[in-house]
Amino acid sequence: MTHDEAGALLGAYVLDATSEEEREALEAHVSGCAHCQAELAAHREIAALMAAGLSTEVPARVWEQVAASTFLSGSHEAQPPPRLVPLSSSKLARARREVLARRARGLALGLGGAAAAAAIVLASVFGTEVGQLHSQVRSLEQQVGAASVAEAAALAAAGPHVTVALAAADGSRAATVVVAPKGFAYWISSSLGELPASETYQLWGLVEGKPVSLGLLGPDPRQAGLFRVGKGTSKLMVTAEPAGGAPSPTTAVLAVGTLPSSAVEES
Amino acid sequence: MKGDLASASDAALAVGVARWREEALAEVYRRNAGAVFGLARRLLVDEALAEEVTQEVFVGFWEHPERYDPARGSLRAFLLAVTHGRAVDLLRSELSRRAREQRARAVAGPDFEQEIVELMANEQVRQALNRLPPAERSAIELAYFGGHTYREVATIQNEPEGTVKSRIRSGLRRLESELAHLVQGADR
Repeated sequence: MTHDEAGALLGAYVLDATSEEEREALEAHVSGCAHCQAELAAHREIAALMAAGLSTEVPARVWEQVAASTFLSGSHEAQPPPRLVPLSSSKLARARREVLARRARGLALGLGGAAAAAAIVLASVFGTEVGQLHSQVRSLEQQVGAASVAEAAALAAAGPHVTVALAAADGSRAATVVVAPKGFAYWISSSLGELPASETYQLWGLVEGKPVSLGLLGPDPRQAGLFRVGKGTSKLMVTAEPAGGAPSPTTAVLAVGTLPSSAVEES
Repeated sequence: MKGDLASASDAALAVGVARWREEALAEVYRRNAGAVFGLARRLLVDEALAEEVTQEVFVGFWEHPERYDPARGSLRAFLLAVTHGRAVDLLRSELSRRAREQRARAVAGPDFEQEIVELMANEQVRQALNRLPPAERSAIELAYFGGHTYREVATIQNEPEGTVKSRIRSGLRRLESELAHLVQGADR
């Protein structure tokens, strides 16, 4: 494709109005033509201005799904703070490769090194936590001074509280949770199906980007549940796990809801 | 950190995302999701498909921030270009028959173009479009908001394909000279 042929197609290309073959031929030319690249960039800004007028409110579930499919991928573990300097995209790619390489090295070394020991300690801490969840619920019941979870939930819903709707992937409401200011939280209703006895629903809070187990709900999600939410919890999520629960989510997130930062006072 | 992010440049946000900073992605979403979703919904009509495209655009940016080159324009223009391309792919694929049928009904309305112009919140953009020669304006709108190829536009306008290609290009250039002051610098 000559430069003039490319130029004639540029406008249509920016608006995705060419055929597949024309698109490929044009891209081959543009990749080596600074003049066309500049015109392309200018056209793109104009297209963006035209789209700005269409800007509209986005349903909250879209962000929840984005967050669920990105932050839970395990790719967010503690990283160096962002450098607030413009970098070219090749530098971006390199920065990212370095991060990935570091993570890969950490995992490999972890098999024999100190990281492995740390991982084992973590696993046992989580293991204990999961094992204790049921007795925790009993002690929580005593703390809120109610005879049953259902009664405590009714008391909480009568006072100041925040209602969090957990949305499923299709956007439908999968569950409702009531959070009282002290962080006591109640799983009060759900449209999720009953699991086989070998599995349990497990509730997670997202704290600083990491899922933290909040408790096991058992196989029947219609039963009310009581758990405790910490101040830094930004999201509530639910997964289906093997009966004893898991230290971190092992299956897809079934539903996600956002906890307003004001929901929990000092806990 | 929040204050920093709200005023962070596109390049800084892209670096943040490259370093897996979820709050950087959240800020990119806060700034751009409304336009991404609005454009996808305009093209696809089907709300659920538009939500899917919006989700894909931001998950895609999380996974491949290096595809955005700050030297070649604003992050918003990049994300909207990705959105437009993805929505048009869906429109043209066999799978989205449902969306096309819905869309055919919406497009068949008596004053589709006028409806679009009225949706333009940005008064200056609206005025600049209105000042274009009508055939140029219509060619750009049919392609950008209607998802038509220039060949389809040529059929609709009953003009040679070459005429339509140059109408689109000269219309965009005219808009550029009128709206240059609205375009954010790449190093904002």
